[in-house]
Amino acid sequence: MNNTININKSILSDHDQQAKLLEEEFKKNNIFVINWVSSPGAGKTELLSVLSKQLISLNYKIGVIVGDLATDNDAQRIKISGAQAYQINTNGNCHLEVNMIRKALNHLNWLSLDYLFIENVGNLVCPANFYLGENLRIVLMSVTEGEDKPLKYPSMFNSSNICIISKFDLKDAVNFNQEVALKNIISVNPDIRIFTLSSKTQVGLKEFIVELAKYRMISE
Amino acid sequence: MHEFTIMSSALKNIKVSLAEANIKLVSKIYLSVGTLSGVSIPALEYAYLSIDKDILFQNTELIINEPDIIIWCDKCNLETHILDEYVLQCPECHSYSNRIISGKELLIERVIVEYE
Repeated sequence: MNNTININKSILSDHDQQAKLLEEEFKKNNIFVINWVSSPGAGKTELLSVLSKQLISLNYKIGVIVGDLATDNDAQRIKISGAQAYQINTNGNCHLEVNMIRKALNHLNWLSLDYLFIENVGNLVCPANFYLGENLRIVLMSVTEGEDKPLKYPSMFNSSNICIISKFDLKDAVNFNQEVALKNIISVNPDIRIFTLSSKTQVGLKEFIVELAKYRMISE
Repeated sequence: MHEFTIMSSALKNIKVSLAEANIKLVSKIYLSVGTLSGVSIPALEYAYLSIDKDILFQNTELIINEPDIIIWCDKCNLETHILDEYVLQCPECHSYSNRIISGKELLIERVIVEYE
């Protein structure tokens, strides 16, 4: 006897269910979670360091989970800001999954956090499919990467809520064409919000923090 | 290469969905994987050949359907196929729309099984 069984379920339904449970726990404990994604070297760690430092000075409690294939260099860098930080070594895995986040939380005093930042593995492809229970997904695109990054990696830009154009202090040195970059970002995600920011000069950081606080208020 | 994770997850979720039924084997698996999902179909097919499979899937054919990218244009009030592979722009009025009707799927559609 041959038979068809309709399943109609997401391929990642088990992962997404786990992420949903984690999302509920974050919500219950009033923790605002951001999943940070970008290519390697776009400036995630530096931005998270300066952002954490600023938010800590405003009396927020910050935790950062960092994913890399190897080394704990990034967690060490972020700890200098005063944030709690824990490094996940994925040993070759190209993205973070929800079970890794759950394990990493055991190493943080996470229930008391106001913001949890998840710095995903530097990769503009694989992390796009894995929801980690976050309130916001933010993609960084540095001015040194070229204006066409969104067209080359559309699924990541399409799945993000915010795009930060980073290393903005270098825009003239690398002849960055802002108009073209904005058009490319919008063309793969018309709903995305875009900020420009320099972690080095901190131009744009205050404005971004004000907007972040608004997102956090709406989520409560 | 997150396709290995995705393929393993597909087989795991199919097995869970079939747990109640008295199934001898799965003869065909139909997946739907949209271009906008960012998942490579050839890499998924390669992963399927390479990974260790449950006894249910020993002689199972994998069929992956790739739906077209279709967006809803608010201005024209209609569904439209986009021209450029990823640019979410209505070919009629050239306005952008993020209301994706198809093209983002990462879905287990159905399976063909043989019962005990």
